[in-house]
Amino acid sequence: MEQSSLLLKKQLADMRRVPVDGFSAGLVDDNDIYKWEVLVIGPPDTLYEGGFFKAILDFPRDYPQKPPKMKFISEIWHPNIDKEGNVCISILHDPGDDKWGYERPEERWLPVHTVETILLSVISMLTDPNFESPANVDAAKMQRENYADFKKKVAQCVRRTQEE
Amino acid sequence: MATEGALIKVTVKSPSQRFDVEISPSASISELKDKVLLSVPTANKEQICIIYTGKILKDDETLVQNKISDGHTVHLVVRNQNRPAGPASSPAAASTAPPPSSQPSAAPPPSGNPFGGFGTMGGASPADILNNPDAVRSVMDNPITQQLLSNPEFMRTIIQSNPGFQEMIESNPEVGHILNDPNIMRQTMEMIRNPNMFQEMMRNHDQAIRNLQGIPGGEAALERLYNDVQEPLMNSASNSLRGNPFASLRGQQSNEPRVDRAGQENNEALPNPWASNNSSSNNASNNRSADFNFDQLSAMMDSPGFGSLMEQMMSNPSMQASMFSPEVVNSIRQSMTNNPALIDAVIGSMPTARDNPQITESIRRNFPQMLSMMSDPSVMQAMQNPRVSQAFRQIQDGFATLRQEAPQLLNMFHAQAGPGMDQLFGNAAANAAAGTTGTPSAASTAAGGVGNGMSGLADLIRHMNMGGRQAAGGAPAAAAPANPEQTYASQLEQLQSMGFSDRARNIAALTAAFGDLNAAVERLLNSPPQ
Repeated sequence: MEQSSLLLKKQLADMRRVPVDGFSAGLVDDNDIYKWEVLVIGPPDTLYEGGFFKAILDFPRDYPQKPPKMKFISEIWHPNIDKEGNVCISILHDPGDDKWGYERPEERWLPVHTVETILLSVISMLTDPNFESPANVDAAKMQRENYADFKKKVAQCVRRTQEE
Repeated sequence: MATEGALIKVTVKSPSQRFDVEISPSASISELKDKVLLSVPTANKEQICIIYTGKILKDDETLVQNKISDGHTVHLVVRNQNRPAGPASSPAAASTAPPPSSQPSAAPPPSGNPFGGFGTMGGASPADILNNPDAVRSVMDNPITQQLLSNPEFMRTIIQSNPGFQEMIESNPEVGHILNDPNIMRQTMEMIRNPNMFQEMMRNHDQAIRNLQGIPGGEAALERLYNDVQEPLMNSASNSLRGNPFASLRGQQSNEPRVDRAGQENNEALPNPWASNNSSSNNASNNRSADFNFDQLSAMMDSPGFGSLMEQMMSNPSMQASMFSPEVVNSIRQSMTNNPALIDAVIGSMPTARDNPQITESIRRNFPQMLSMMSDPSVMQAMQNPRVSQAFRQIQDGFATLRQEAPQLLNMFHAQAGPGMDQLFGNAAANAAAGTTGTPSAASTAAGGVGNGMSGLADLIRHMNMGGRQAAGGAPAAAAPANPEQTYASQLEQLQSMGFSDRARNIAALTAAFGDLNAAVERLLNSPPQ
């Protein structure tokens, strides 16, 4: 069995026993250890509170050398999540130097990251968006220029996740 | 995995707590929720969400179906109750209390939502009322409420009596000015009464904030605004202002003018509470404050309501007692000695004295004496006795009668009035003047003091004085001597041994001081020999 599969199985078993606050993770299909489904619980005291946002974590075979991809299935309006739901945070970027020069290598993917550390980063991103490199420019603009509309839009997403 | 029938232990974890539930693996999620409810008594079953391996578990599924086995942990999320269906309901606000459903567009946190404070007020019943626009309107439309709210004085009292708000004003003086603007008050009240108008205002507000952000430096100004106004407001609102619906409203009002002035210092003077109507509370506190300001005082005396206020104060024993408390009198005395013009102002405020230069002159001359007398503890004690001041009022009334019935008698007093002659009765004048600091009543008593120089009339006055004291019934100083020479024999002897040789003057001084040796000595030293 590959190293990645063993590592992910261990993480899954750990998380079943001792889940981490703020999210819950499992497999989409029990036969595919590389495809995880995650439910992010909207962090308290943020606009996202009360929402249950579904996301898929897609691990490469060469995990943990390369990062997984994270994509929200639930609609979510956030400056650092693009309109397809892809999460854009530095630790999920391939290791090495940033060709745009924004991120330092230590901010990018490192093999020490686990599902837990990734999700904690995502939750902190929900709490505290990074305006410098928005993946959803419209959301970033709206948040800065028309916060009321931004709030409204987020609230819509939150409500939709509750109905699912 | 546990066999059918055997119980498994599932750990339930929520952000605030963590507990174990024993349950059969074949049980449904609904049954699991029932067990969870035992540990979370505040929640309804509909509010509970069980989350496991990335899924929200459905009620009709079983634990086995979801592969929950012994020792596993599930997430518990308690949803908010009665989530308002309005499109603007922000989950953040809803977590503490649902925002008023009448509010279509929620304001951004940096600009502040004036009704946001309502959400944090806690307290179920006021919050419920406030969340119901109809209830708010009916309360606000109630004539009694309207009457109350249209009275700025009342509103000010409410707000000033709130320690949290006071604290806030102390730390943010610029917020204080809203208190003194009845227009803002009225506007605020109008806003509460009319949800539509409120919404409109909110929209305008959002627009204004957005425009502000657009201009260069606007962002920084907003940030400063948030730090200077919003945060302290929020802090005080969440601490001691719980339950005060006006707190955040008022904070909101302060926003716009602050924005206008952002970037410059606020060097406006705070409104002078003395500028207009003196409320009695203002007055009392001012009497207590050790520094008397001359301008303030004359302004105060010129106000028409002051006389009646004095009247009221004099009829209130406890108010009087506090007015005559040693530290207050001392502070008056000090400021009078330091500021001769103050005496003139006091005199000027007495109508009788103003019209009569003779009286003015006499009062002025005797002021230092009065003042030194005020430092005498026994005099102070006498003044603090409400019955004593009552007696003085009677004397005063007596003079009024005298003036009406026999004006020629009074004219005689005036004609005979000379330097130092009023010392016999100076006590009364001093008391009245000190006690009322410039009311008309002091003037008439002083007029009496001026006139009592003639020995025969002095007797008459002493009788009046005694009568007053007897009517007052046993005030400390009431032991009026029938024969002062006999009653004050020991004091006279002491005065003699101190070197005061003029026996007649000694007797007069002792009589005036009601036998108090120190006061008599004071009196003798301060008045030139006749």
